[in-house]
Parts: sequence; C-alpha cells; structure tokens
Amino acid sequence: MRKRVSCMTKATVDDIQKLAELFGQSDWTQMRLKMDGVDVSWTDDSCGLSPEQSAAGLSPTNDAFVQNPTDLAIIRAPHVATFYGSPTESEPAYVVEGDTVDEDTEVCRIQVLERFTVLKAGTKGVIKGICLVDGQLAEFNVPLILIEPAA
Amino acid sequence: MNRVLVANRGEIAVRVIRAAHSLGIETVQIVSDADKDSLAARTADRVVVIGPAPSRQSYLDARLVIHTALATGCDAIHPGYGFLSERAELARLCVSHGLTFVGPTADIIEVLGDKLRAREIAAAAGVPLVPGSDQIANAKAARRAAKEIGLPVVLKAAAGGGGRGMFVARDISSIDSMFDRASSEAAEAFGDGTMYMERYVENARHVEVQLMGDGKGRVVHFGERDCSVQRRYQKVIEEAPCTAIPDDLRKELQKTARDFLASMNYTNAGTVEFLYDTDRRAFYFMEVNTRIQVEHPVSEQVTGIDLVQMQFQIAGGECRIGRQDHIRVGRHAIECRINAEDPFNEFQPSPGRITRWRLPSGAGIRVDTHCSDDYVVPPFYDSMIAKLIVTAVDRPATVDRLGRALDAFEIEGLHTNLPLLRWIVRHDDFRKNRLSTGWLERTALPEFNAG
Repeated sequence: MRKRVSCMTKATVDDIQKLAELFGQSDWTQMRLKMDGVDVSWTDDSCGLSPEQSAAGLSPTNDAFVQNPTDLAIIRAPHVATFYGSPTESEPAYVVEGDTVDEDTEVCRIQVLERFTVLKAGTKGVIKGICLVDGQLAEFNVPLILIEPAA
Repeated sequence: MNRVLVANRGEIAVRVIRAAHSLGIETVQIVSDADKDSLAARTADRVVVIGPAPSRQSYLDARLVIHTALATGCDAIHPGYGFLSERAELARLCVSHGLTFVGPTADIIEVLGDKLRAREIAAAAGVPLVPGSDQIANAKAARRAAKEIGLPVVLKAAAGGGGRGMFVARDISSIDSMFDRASSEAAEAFGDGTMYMERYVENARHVEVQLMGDGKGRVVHFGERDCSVQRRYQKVIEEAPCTAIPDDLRKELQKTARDFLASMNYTNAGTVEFLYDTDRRAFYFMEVNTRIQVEHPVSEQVTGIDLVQMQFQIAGGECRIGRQDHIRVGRHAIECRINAEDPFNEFQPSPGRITRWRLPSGAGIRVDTHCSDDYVVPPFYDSMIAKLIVTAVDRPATVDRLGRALDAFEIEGLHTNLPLLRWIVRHDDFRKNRLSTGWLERTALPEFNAG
C-alpha cells in the first residue's frame, strides 16, 4: 500500500535523520522523500531474513551473509543492471515469497539499456526472499532472489 | 554539469575525481569487483560495482557504463585514457542517451582513430608526414613500397596506434613474410588487417603537442612534450618542454599541431604526436591521441593549468578558450612512470600487496597515484602504480631533483622499475639529453643488464 503524506515545507538534516529512524522502526519496505532540494529514498532490504539473522548483522549485501549462507541458493546479478520483479509494470510479480519453483521458473528480469534478460530459478525449491525492488540498480554479484532448494 | 561517471580506474580515476570535485561536480565511480576498495572508489561520491575483474566484462563494456550513468543520475561521462577513451562507441552512446562525453566528438575519435585516415587528413592539411605509403594490399606491394620509401621501413596497422601493430624491416628479403604475419596479427588484434608503411627513422625523438579545442575552431596548445624514453613503444619517461629541438622548429611544431586541430574544429583535449628526425632536422606527423594522456601532468606543471579541469569546463560549455599568448611555458618538468614490474626479469608484471609505501615530497614534487601502504595491486590491469612528476627551473635542476625524489621513493612488497629509473636518471646520456626513441632498448637496457 502506498501513502503520500504532504505536510512538510522544508526539511532539515535533523528531520531527515528522524525520518530515517522512524522508517527503520516501521514495517514499511520503501520510503521516498521528495521536495525542493531534497530527494531521498529508503529501502528495507532485510529481504526475508529472520529477526535473528538480521540481528546478527546479516543482510544480503553483507559479506558475512555471502560467506555463511544458510542452505539458500542465491540468484545474483551477473553484471550491473536494473532489477524488475515482474514481466511488465502492470503484471503481477514473477514470484513471491513462498512460491514453489523449478529450474525453468522465471523469477525476475534485469535490464541494461534497452535489453532485458529474464533470469530463471535454476533449481527446484521455494522462494525465500526477493532482495530488490522494481527499478533498483543491482550491482554485479548482488543477491537478487533467495531460494531454499528442495531436499 | 552536475554529476559525472568516471569510466576508468587507477590513478587517472583519482585524478578525474579530484578535478570534478574541485569544480563542484559530483562523481560516480564504476569499478570492477577487483577495484571495490580502490582509492577512486573511496573518494568518489558513489561507487557502483559493474562486473567481475576482467576488463572486457567491466571497464570495456560500454553498455554497462552507459546504463550505470543513466541509472545514477549522471549527466556526463569521463573516459580517462585507454579503455573506452579511444573508441567512438562510448562517445556515440553518450550522444544517443543524452549524456555529455568529456572529450572530442565521436566522429573525430573515429576518424583519427583510423591511423591511415588520420595521415590522409594530415597530408591534406599540409602537415608533413613520414615518407610512407597508402594502404598496402599484399606482400608484393609491400616490397615495392619499401624500395620507394627506402629501407629501413616500419609496417603499421591502420587500426593500431599507441605503439601497437608495428613491425620494423631492415632488408627486402624479410618484407614478404613480415607483411603476411603483420597483417594477420593486426586482423586478430584490431579486427582490421589493413597495413601501411613508413620510413623507419633510426635516430628519432618522440615529440608531441598538448592541445585543447572548443569545437568552434579555437584551439590552443600547452607546449610540447618529449617522450623519447620508451620500451616497446610504451613511454617510460616524459618531459616538457623538449629542449633538444631548436626554437624555430619548436614554434613551427606547435603551430602546425594547432592549425591542424583547428581545421577540424577539434573539441576538448588532444595530443598531436610527431617523430623528430634528429639527423634531418625535420618533424613528421605520427598520430593524434583523442583523449587526455598519461603524461598530461608535465604540461600542467610547466603551464600552471589544470588540464582535466579544463576538459570538464569545455564539455560543460563553460570554458572559453583564451588567447594563445596567455599560456606561458616556464620551468621544466619530468615524469617517470613507476610500474609494478621486475626490470631484472624481463619486466615481468609484479602484482601483490604493498608492504611499504613512502612518497618523496617537497618543492616541485608531485605524485599521481592510486596506491598506498597495504594496497594490493591486482594482476588484471596494466602495471603502472604511480607517476612521479618533478618540476624545477631548468632541465639540469629538474634532473637533479628527480634523482633525489626517486631515491626517496620507497616501495616494498613488489618489484618496481624504480632501480631502472634511478639508473637512467644518472646516465650521462640522460643528463645531457642525448636521447632517442631507440635509446632505452638499444643502448641503456643492454648496459643496465650487464651491470
């Protein structure tokens, strides 16, 4: 659900810090502040981790997570690209958390200029997390989709 | 211009970021996975890892570069030197995606990147050329051309440049086999086996002129550089000005270069390279480098002008090229390229972790580098780790200062060419400026290896 709230006329650094704190305490996944001279976005990339994993400082972009993965299969960005979780803007997402997939299930698409590449699960399993939001720039090797492989 | 994407790595990326920041321009640094913790990555306002270590999958992928620039809100791209700077592809993609390319136009890059075409244009503009041929179709034509031009000759790849794709022949009997080999090697390396031939000048100096244009016919020069100390066509030591040519020739060289680029409405930075035939007291056009070059600091030191800053200003439409007589060349500057290589072992590259890093400092000492204590020099890219640029009132004083600065430069943990540089700077030929493009390989290195 998206909400737009208009009440501020000027943002100070303190305001922005306060907003960042509030965002972190909330269960929102994305927040954007746009006004004269300011354009700031926040994204929650806890990405389907358990509170314990988050507390342990693990995050998809955290090296420890990468080195000590759970048994998850991780679909990573093969090069820098813009991430999209659905085939087109109006269609629903390729996959959501909890979906069962097999090797050929399409799970997301990545874009470089006018070219799109659809990525597949590559394994049988269950989707555990979708790490980026639509339109977000994924750096090389960043986790995009987390899959718990079938036993 | 608000935000520039720096499409390069190493010391030049650091240099470009510094110039951008000095003008209040934000920077986005693209890196390969191997350069995530580089100085450029830490200095830029934002870093984006675009691919794995190999250049082909990172720094040389123009589409990834453009995509990243657009996605991070950049309005300009600076290509540095090497990598994509010498290809029209990146410049063209900038145009088609509404980005400013900090450099010449794509057409100019393309036309001057074809060395044969560049010779034609130079000839048409009245610029003296090394006696040479047009395109050579086969070995028989090569032999004919060699007889016309006079031995020795050098076979060159039209799509080469920067010292690549060149083969010297000293006798007619070797021409046939050399032509066939050269042409197929060129086809493989540059995608184009077209060859041409020039007289090989035995006693030559490499003299080049630094210029800037505004794209509307106004071009100024920043003096010339002497880059004769080379190994395998790679420059090792460069200096400004070139004190080995007489003043009247110097002025003619500068004017020729300036008129040539002005006739093309050249935009942004460029260097016209000449071969100076010491015996004949004549200079010949070689090629144009359509980018900022490694050795640009020596020209900055003797003119006091920040050339990379000027590149940004011209690209942003803010710079008005001033009067030529406002640019004064004073003092002398010498640059040494310090490479992670072993001069005692065929110059094998020597990547690895730097365990000690102490820079010389003091008046007239400048070091352009991306390295530091504890930095790991990766094995994937060229071996240059620093440029030491020394400035003083005249050449003798500069050579003395350079010797002391090289002695004070401490690098441990990998092999470097510092021992060779220190030896060169003490050599009588270097001190007396009795140099030529063949000097390092033919005279100095054999002595160095024997000693």
